[in-house]
Amino acid sequence: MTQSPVHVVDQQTDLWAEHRDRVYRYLLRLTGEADTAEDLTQETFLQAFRDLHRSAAAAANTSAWLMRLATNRAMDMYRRRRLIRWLPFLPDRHGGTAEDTAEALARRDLVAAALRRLTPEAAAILLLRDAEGFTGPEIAAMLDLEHAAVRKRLSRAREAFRTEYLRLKGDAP
Amino acid sequence: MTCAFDRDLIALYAGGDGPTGAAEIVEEHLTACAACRALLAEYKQGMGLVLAHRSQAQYPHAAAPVRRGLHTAWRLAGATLIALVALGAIGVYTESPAMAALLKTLGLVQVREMNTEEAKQYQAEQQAWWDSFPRDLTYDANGVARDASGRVIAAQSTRVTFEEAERAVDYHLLKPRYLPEGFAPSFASLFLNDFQSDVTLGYGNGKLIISQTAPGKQIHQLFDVPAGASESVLVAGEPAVLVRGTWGVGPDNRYEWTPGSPVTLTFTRDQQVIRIVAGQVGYPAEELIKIAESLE
Repeated sequence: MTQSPVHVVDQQTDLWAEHRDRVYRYLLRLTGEADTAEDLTQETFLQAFRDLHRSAAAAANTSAWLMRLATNRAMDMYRRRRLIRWLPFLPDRHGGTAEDTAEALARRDLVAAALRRLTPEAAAILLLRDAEGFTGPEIAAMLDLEHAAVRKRLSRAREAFRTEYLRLKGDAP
Repeated sequence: MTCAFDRDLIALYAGGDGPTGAAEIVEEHLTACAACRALLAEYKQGMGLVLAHRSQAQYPHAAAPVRRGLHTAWRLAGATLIALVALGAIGVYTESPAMAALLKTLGLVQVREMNTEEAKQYQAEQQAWWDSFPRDLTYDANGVARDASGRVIAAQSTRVTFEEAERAVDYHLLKPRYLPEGFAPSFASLFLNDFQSDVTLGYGNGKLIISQTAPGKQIHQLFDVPAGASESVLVAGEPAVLVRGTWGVGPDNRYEWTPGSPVTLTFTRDQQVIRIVAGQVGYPAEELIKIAESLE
């Protein structure tokens, strides 16, 4: 089935409008760098526009498919850089400030610092599962892993986060 | 404190991620092992923290990417936009004609709109407080934060499920019959200690939160906001106040007012202070009022 160019552009516009914030937020938390997250978001969508009609995964679960592209772009970047740099996470300036009490701010710093101490893969799995709410099988498909391997990495990532957070908080286990 | 039980299973159980049949094994073990129950609580706390850490940022450019050459142009457009927003923020202080402080009182909730001078002074006081705020806090089992010298600084809320929140308090938790799409119930947080007593229910991963204080517990809520940031509205015929924006600390540690977001609707009902907060910039007042009126 062929699609008219106008129709394709409409679909791309919808995809962009609906998903760009979520992809950007995920990449922002994963990389901790606003500029990098912006660049990776653009790369993710450029690839998504190319593959939109070729990928069965795109139609089956669009968010999961986009997160897969985003995660791959981020991991590619880390491989390119070779040296993994974890710069400070930026606190949100707009929105989501419902909890902007001093204690929430202090705690957010600890959470960002604890995430920075994980490997990018571990941070990605934690964010995809515990922040973005994707299921184990969805994450397995995104990361080209068996579901059992996702479980193993998820349990290790939760343990690593727990250890790092308690250590930073001063309650070393 | 250590136990030979497989902690991977506990870490997975914390999020319902274990393989088939594992939950029963873990649950049986947990009934007998306090150390693993404590470990489970820590995993759950970690998951709650990661969820709460979820960014609410919006992608800074509206245009979809078409080709790389345009990227720099978008960056410039974004920078201009940010500069305009910043100018708008300054305008709140310098251009508002409301020079006299406006006092809006409704029962337990009081809003003071500040004139330029008052806002400046308020900002300086809060900045000084933030600058002196200790960064190396430790929390005890009750969630009370202490600084290095052991001085009590603040209390931490506990992240729980809706069901746990219902069990933790002896009053009825109000829930909205009306919720916009994408605002599924996601978490509850409890502030039950000597400092505070309120429950917050989060919807849509915190895009919307509804908090309520214990009935009769006279928690006076005072909002100091720049001129023009608040608006008197009615919720079911009763006075309520809508505030657009928040005081907060940016990445450069500057304490400042962010105009526009979140949008907070505060009102009282049955001696309780109810607050509905939407994180999105420009969230429509009518929607918040509709949600407020559907609370039961």
